[in-house]
Amino acid sequence: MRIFSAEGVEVQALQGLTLRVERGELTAIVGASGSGKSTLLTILSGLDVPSAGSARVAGHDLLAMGTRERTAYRRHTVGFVWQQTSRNLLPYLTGAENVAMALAVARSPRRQRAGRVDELLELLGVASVRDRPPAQMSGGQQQRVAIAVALANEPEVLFADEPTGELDEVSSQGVFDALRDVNERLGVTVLIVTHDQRVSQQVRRTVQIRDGRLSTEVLRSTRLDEHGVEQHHAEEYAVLDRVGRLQLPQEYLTSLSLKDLVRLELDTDHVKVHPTTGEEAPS
Amino acid sequence: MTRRSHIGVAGLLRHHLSTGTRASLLVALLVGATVVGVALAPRALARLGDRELRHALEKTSATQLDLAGVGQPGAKAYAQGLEGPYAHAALVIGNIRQALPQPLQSLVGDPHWLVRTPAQSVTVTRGQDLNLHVRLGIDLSWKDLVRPVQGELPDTYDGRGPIGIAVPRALAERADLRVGDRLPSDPGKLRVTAIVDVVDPDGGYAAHTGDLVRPTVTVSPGFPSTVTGTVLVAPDSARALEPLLASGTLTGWLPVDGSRVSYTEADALVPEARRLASNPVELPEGGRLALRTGLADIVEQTSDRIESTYALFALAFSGLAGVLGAVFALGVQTVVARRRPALALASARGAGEVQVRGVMVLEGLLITLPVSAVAIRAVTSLVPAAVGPVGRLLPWAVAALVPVLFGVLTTTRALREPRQDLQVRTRSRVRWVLEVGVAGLAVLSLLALDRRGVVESSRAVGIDPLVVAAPILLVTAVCAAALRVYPWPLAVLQRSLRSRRGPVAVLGAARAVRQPALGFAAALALVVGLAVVTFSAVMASTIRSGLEHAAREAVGADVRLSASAFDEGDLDAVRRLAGVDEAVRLSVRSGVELDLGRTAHVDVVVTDTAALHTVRPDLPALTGEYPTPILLGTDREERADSVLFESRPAHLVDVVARELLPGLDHRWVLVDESALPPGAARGDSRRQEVLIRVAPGADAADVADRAAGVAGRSGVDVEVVDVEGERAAAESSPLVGGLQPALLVAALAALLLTLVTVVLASLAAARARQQLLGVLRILGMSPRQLRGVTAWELGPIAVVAVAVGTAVGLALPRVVTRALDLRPFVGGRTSPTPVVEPALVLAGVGAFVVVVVVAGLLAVAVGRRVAPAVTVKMGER
Repeated sequence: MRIFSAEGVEVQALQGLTLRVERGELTAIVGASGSGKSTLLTILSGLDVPSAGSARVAGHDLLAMGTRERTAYRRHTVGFVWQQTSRNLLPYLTGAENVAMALAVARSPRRQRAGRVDELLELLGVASVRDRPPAQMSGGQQQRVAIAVALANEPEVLFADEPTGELDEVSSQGVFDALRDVNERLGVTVLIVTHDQRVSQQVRRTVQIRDGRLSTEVLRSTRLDEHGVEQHHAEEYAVLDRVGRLQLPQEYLTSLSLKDLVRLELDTDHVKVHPTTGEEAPS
Repeated sequence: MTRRSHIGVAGLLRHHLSTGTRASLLVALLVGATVVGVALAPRALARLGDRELRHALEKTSATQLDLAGVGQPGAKAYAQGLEGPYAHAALVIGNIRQALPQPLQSLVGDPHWLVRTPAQSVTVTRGQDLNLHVRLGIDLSWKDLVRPVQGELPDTYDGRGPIGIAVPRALAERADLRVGDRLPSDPGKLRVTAIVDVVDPDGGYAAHTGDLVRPTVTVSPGFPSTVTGTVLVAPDSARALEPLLASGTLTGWLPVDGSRVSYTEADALVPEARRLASNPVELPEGGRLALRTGLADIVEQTSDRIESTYALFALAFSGLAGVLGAVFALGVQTVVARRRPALALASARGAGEVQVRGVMVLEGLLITLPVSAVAIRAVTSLVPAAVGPVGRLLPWAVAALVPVLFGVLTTTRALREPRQDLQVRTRSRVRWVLEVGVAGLAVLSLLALDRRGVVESSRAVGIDPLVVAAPILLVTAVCAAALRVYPWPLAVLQRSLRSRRGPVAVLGAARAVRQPALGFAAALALVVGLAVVTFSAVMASTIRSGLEHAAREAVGADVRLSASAFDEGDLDAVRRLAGVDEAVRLSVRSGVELDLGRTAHVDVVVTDTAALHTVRPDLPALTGEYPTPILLGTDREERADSVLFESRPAHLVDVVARELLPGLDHRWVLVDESALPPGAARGDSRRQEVLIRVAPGADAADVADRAAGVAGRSGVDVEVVDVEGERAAAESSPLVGGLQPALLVAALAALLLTLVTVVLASLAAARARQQLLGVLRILGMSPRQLRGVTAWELGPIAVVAVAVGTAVGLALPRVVTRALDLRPFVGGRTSPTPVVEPALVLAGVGAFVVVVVVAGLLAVAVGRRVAPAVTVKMGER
């Protein structure tokens, strides 16, 4: 839980969000503006501290971390990429210098630095802009350099907050491919906050946040049917709260015109939800 | 276009620090100017101290200043193995200077001395109506010091024939002596061979030898005048006159050159000069010479004045230190704000507190060190002066303050963008703690000052840290309290405006309450700035009034004439002069009996007390005849049930301070001339004085000149003093002359810093303002309404600054005059109390308001250029 308070008014930005991400997963978090997804990311990246609850990343308890552990956590455990390139890269440093800055901050040995910088820029496919300042790169290049910066100190987890928000379709795909590549090739756990449907549809797990709570979750998988043809499956999950309330996805409500009152039917191993007509409604 | 990437820490830092340097340059300029001021101030003060000390010593007569004394010359004038008279004594006296410690030795010139016989009665030959006494003097360098105007310098007297003497011109004229006169006397017949003039009649020689230049004339009514003077004989006559000279006196002195004195040496000088008097010089053959000097007293008194002034300067400028601190904080915040994105990114990537603060401290050092070094070097080479370790270290301390501020004001916690929608006003616990701490310290310092009372001698404490700290603590505490309180009335105003006025006032008030454009540092700078301006204005008028008061006390009226006698005709003539409102004559007689339970002799001042009351309304008219009404002037607490004045019952009307009537060193009794008992107060009339009240609009100095002319027409020497002249004399002191400009400089510096504060703070708020104005413009606000919204940024805080700053500025002089005795500075009997000249204070406040408005306009104009396209990007955070 994160509570912001000012002038005696308290605002709860996150409450009742339970989320577990396995090591090496690539997960997308979607939600409307103000749903709390950015707050979640600032907490997970160690920039903010939750007011209550529990949050653990790669063995670090984010509520109990001291200053020194928090600094080490930011240096070596997590890396992140924000939507605005101006928040990812220093405008007066070149691409290589931006990566080197992250290495210097973490006090990595100087003789290894040049090699690591080139390795990362190669990996992200932006070696050509090594010596250019961000203003001379395209948006996609900037974000890929930003990913290189985030990976500089070999983090276990990479957070990306709307990394494709300011990019066109082609560049967005490039950046997403880069993130997926990093996930697959380096085994880095990647958590992407986005409202880009194209991105969320390409990851195995998509989590939706609404009003600071986990709303629904979609798990995608690929199976071979009886003809040996690859089939994409998407299973949608919703969160049932402590008192039994359930929030159905918007598209379910729309497609079946579910509103006001629905009829429930308890079966042996599941519950059915039926729309009601005017006649069915109890008087 | 590509460039070579640097991946080393040094290269990265160089890139980082060389970007966005405009704000850094501004801070560097600010630091440079401050360091110049701080380096210059102790030098200017040291020079001012030197000038004041030299001015005081130059005003002092040679007899008071020089190391001088009168002793015995010893039994014999000649010593074995040495040639010439008093050769041995000359050697001993010649070594006195070398034996003096420094810095006294460097101020003292070569010794000079003169041996004189006791006064001998001389028979005048031409029937002059006087008794003549002469002292025969021997001065080894007489030929350089006197010049014959008639005749020839006498030859050596060898015991035969008359003793040849050189007679100073004044004595010759007074006693009617001429070259060739033969004068019978006790030691033998004297023959005048020369009439001489002293080469430098205004110099030290003339001053120390006394009657060698100006004979002493004693007049007793009914008897011939007695004239006593010194005549010179040839030095080798000492052998023949040895027995007579042995019973005479040796006058010696070492001239002191006040123009070489330095204030930094004053502390060492005083004990050296005092020690001198307790160590007489032993001369051969039982001779002895004890040297004394008034140097120590004058240096001490002047040092008191200088210390008082330093304390005043420190007070006036301590307020500026507060403003400067706030301005520095603002400047540093501006630089930190520029670095915020980079530091935030570095911090998010794992840079620790030490790394982030370290980079900013490094930037602070790069900003301040070079400019400070250049500034200090320039000041020390352009204004050489001896300053103490504090004066040398202070500029460096100020230079070091900025890197420290960079370190303090940079925290990784403050680097993240605040959630503006949620954080309406800061709730910093640190600020609360600091404010409560400052308030507590302010109360403690005021209590300490109150318990200690007025410091009698500022020298005892030097520049008192308590006196300097208390006002700035008080200002800061009051300002903090005002800033805590002011949102409340503003919120009330906002609520009341909501229903009655247009959008500008509502929006402006809401913004001032919820998101003030100027932070605490800027508000503090404004309040303290105006407090300094008001304080300077009040202190200037207080000092001016104190000087005027002291001058009036010293004169005793607008104009005072003193002479041995004024007759009724003189008094009437003075009364009839244009510009004279009233004139009253005071006759001072000494040795009159007063019995207040115990008989004592006092001075009595006889006058027309009704006229005196007109000239001096603070002194009562003593009416009634029996018992005689009297007024007692004394330094002590005195009361008596029965009073006898000249053995007759008297009515003691009041007891007043002795200094109420000037020029009286002892207790005195004032009595009306009509009530004076017959035959009473017959003691010798020492002198008479005329006190004049000048008519409104008349020029006191002009009246004084004309009154002196009228009163002196009978040929008596009239001494005249007037208030204007006394005040001008006091103001001729470099200290007094320097204080008014210094207060003006403090006020101007405060105004300048206010300007810088408003510009810096408004520039910092430029982006937010432009965003807001962009939104409002789109909503349809007119340019006039937009200007109104901008004016609301500064308006409320300026109103608070005017109210609180003026109140504090008016209150501070009361704290100061309660804690600091200004008498050594202004003179007078009582330490001055604050005098508020409304016009002067209003002028100060007006100048402040103008500066704030101009600075606001300037900042808005510059801000518009800084963020011209922000309207179209207003959605971007």
